[in-house]
Amino acid sequence: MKTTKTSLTPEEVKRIARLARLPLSQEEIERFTPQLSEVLNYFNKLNEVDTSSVKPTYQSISDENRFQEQKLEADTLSTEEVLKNAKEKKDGYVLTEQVIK
Amino acid sequence: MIKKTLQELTEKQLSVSELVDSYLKRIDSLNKKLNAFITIDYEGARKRAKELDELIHHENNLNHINKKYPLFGIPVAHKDIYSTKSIETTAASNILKGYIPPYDATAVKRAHDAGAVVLGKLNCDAFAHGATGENSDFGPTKNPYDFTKIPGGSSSGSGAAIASDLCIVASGTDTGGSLRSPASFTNTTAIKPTYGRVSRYGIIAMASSTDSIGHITRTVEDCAQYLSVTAGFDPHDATSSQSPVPDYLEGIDEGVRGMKIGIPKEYMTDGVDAEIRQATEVVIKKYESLGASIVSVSLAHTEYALAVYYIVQPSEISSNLGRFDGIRFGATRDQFGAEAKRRIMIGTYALSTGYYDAYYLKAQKVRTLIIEDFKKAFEKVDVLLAPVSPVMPPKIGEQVNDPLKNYLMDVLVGPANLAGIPSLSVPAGFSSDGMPIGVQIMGNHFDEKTLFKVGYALERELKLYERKPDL
Repeated sequence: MKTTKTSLTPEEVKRIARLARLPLSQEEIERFTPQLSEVLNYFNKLNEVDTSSVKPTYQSISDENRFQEQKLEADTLSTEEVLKNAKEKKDGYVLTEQVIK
Repeated sequence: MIKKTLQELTEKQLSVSELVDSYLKRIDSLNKKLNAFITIDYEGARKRAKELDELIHHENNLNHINKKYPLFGIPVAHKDIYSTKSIETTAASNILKGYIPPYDATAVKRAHDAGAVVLGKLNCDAFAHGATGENSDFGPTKNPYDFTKIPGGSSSGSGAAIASDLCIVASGTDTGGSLRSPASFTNTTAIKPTYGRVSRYGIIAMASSTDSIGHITRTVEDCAQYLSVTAGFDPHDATSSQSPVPDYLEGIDEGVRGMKIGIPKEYMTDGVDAEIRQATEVVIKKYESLGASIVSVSLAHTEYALAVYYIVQPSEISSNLGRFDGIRFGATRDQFGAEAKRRIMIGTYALSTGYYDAYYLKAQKVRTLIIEDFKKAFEKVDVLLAPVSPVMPPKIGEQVNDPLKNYLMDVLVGPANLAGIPSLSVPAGFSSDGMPIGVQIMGNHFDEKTLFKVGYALERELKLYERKPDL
């Protein structure tokens, strides 16, 4: 049985938060670091299982891929309805900050 | 209760408006204590009731009403992660406060088309992340049997609302026990259908490979009747199943004589509360006396299921919650609550370069072994019987700072989600201090019909639905 101890550092927590686009406060980073370490440690339990000849499961119901004909539906939403919840919009578009320099 | 209410309405002993008003009044007087509803749609519910009253007024053939509207006038409430056209849908999170969906989820639309009346939206753990209901940004829901205790989660408002007679059907979702947990802690009945049995379209996604769309009711019969309405293929959800939907009520009272009921020994260990095991033993004896044969089975990889679930589920959450950018709808990402942030972080870590093989891929391989365990068991038995929760409901606030402890509450319910099998939670008894205990009946893919039959046989014997909370 392999047992490894996973322990995250506050720097790693910051790195993950950046990957996840989550702005965390210093207090949150300090609170989450031990909590996330404890959960990740629990996952190490899986090292006990030999999976060398096991295939991964991605869906539990053995359905096959299904293809759908592309056609416009009569009951599709209007632009107005789609944009209703956006904070900033103009001429039927959503306004965002500039992302490409 | 659906049957009785339908009869009263179609025989015109009662109008839909009168019925709906009586429920709204009850919600008004009890919701402050319970915090089961986030939104109460007085106006919409009354308008809809009037519409249905006019419909029945102009319909001479009542058989026609019964046939076309199997839920005619039935008051329902939806978990607040179901998109409801023109009713605020928050997912119990500040990030979606004020969000008004432009369309109905398929499950909402089907209930509406069957004649249901929506009373409002139910509280839950934000984004359905939790087993206690405490992760709601709108405050925790209280257990109707003891206001100081949690009602189970994440469909916390659904369980509390049904236990307190605030509606007849409360919809919910079960990604890793979120319907069965509240049902077991509130003396109510919940179906977590087979993965793909009910469309996920319009339900705010948590973990797409295990999200199951179901509901909580007071009786097994109601549970079966409502599933007949919501189940079935939906072109809007490519993972919804095309397998035909049977009549779940037909033969529901046939009993369990000759059936083989498996007891997975890994679900009855010392880790499970003694009173819960005891209640389960009583249920096993009851089934034996009703003519079922009890078979001991092993699901050998059960002890790994929780670790698998807590890798797969946050991984899928981190992806699904990526769409919350604060641009098209909702607030900015700092508005996520602590639990959503934790799960996004765990998932992001498990999927990140260098860790994917060790966590996500490893978990999906062990998931295969868990599914094989179930397959082998169902070669020997018709259904599996086990407790729902390993512990009795804790006090509100008792373990909010211990995420792992909360995750461990899902240990007996998560495996069914990983395998995509259906599971029905039914009342089994009460603890010495008067708190409800539930058991779950798990079945093979798309075999909900057998689960209802088995659940009904127990309900008919125990009649626990008669024992209501003192509110």
